Amino acid sequence: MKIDSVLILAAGFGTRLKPYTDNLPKSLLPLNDTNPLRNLIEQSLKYISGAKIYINASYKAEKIIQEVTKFPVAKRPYIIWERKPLGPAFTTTEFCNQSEGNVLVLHGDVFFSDTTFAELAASIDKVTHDSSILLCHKKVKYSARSIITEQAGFVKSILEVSLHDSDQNSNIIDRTKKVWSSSGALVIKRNSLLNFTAEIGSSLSPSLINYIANNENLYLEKCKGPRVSIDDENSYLNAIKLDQKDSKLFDRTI
Amino acid sequence: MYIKKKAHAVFLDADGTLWDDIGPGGILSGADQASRNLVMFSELQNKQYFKIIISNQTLAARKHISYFRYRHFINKFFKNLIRQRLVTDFAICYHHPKAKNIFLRKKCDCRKPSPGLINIMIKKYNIDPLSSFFIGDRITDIQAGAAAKIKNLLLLVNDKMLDVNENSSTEPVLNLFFPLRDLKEFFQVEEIVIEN
Repeated sequence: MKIDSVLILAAGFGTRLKPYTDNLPKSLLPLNDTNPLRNLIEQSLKYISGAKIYINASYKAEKIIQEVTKFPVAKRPYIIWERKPLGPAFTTTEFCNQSEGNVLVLHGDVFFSDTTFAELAASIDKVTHDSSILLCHKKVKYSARSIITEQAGFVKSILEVSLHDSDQNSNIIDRTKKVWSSSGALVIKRNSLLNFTAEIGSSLSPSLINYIANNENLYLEKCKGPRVSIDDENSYLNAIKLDQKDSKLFDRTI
Repeated sequence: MYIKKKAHAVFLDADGTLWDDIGPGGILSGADQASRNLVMFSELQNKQYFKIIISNQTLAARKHISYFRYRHFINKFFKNLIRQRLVTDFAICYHHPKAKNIFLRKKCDCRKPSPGLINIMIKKYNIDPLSSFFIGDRITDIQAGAAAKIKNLLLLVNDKMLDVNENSSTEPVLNLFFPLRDLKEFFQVEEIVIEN
């Protein structure tokens, strides 16, 4: 499957990572010699050949723009600026409906090891059937926020659960098992969202992902490779550690 | 039947793009810098781009100078650049919604981010917006270019680039642009766009 555009979502306020994000968007938090955004741009340039790269920025956007202009013109991504963050679902829907091809959507706060991203790119390349693709990884339920129900290799539905026991969804799930959880990368096949109405402020999961799963095929790409979604201080430290080592991954058995 | 081929253009903002942004009236001391920057665009001569300046000029609206005197100065300034073949044409908005000069106090459709002036030039020169460029230093330049359906929108990176003015839309829109470190980078972008 050919990817025409890579959309990196980096507009959010990074509220859960304050005070680290008081003066810096989450995607620019330093990780040794790099940052999550630079890492995603470099990996996209390296493994998704021929695709144009777009960065969605809003909070502290000027810092993201400055980071992007460090790349030479031929490799520099475009910027999609929003006065206030409109939410991943709205931005992705508008972008996909304005662009003319298949779009790889990446969360700007996800740090992939190089081997994980290489495997992700290779898997996308191998997919020949006509469907969108959701990257997922195995996680124990108590730490999974986006839980996927699978049917014959495709996503049947996705459920967002709270990690706080006091919240109402926390009782619904059995927290002892391992589950497939959404992993910060989604390939949206061209024209998949033409009839989807996204609410401002909403995330990709569950509404947009469930829309694709219900209306078309959403292939589940299972990835065991290390990647860290930088949600809080612990995951930030994990990302720093992951940046220091590169491992062999991608076990497709559950 | 002969169908006249559409032309392409480079639209340029003035303050902050052709000369340093030192606030309203920067044009009064911007001649040398403008000439130097526009000479670079002579490289495009053989590619037959129209070079058109689109600018908001509010010095008269702020009553720092009379409108007629200011307009006379600006006309002379740009006509001089046209004579030197450094630019093809120019279009200026003198209005401001909160102007002290009541004759210039207006919510017009020519003040960027509105696309009024660009649309006039597109029509006047039969320009194809899809093969044209807009270079500016403010997000309002990008918004004006996008509203006129210009495909290649380039923003010069600076501290004030994301400041929005009172005419800016509050609609939830995605502002798509390519960031430039300086004007020279335009020529690399132009080559890539043409190749593709």
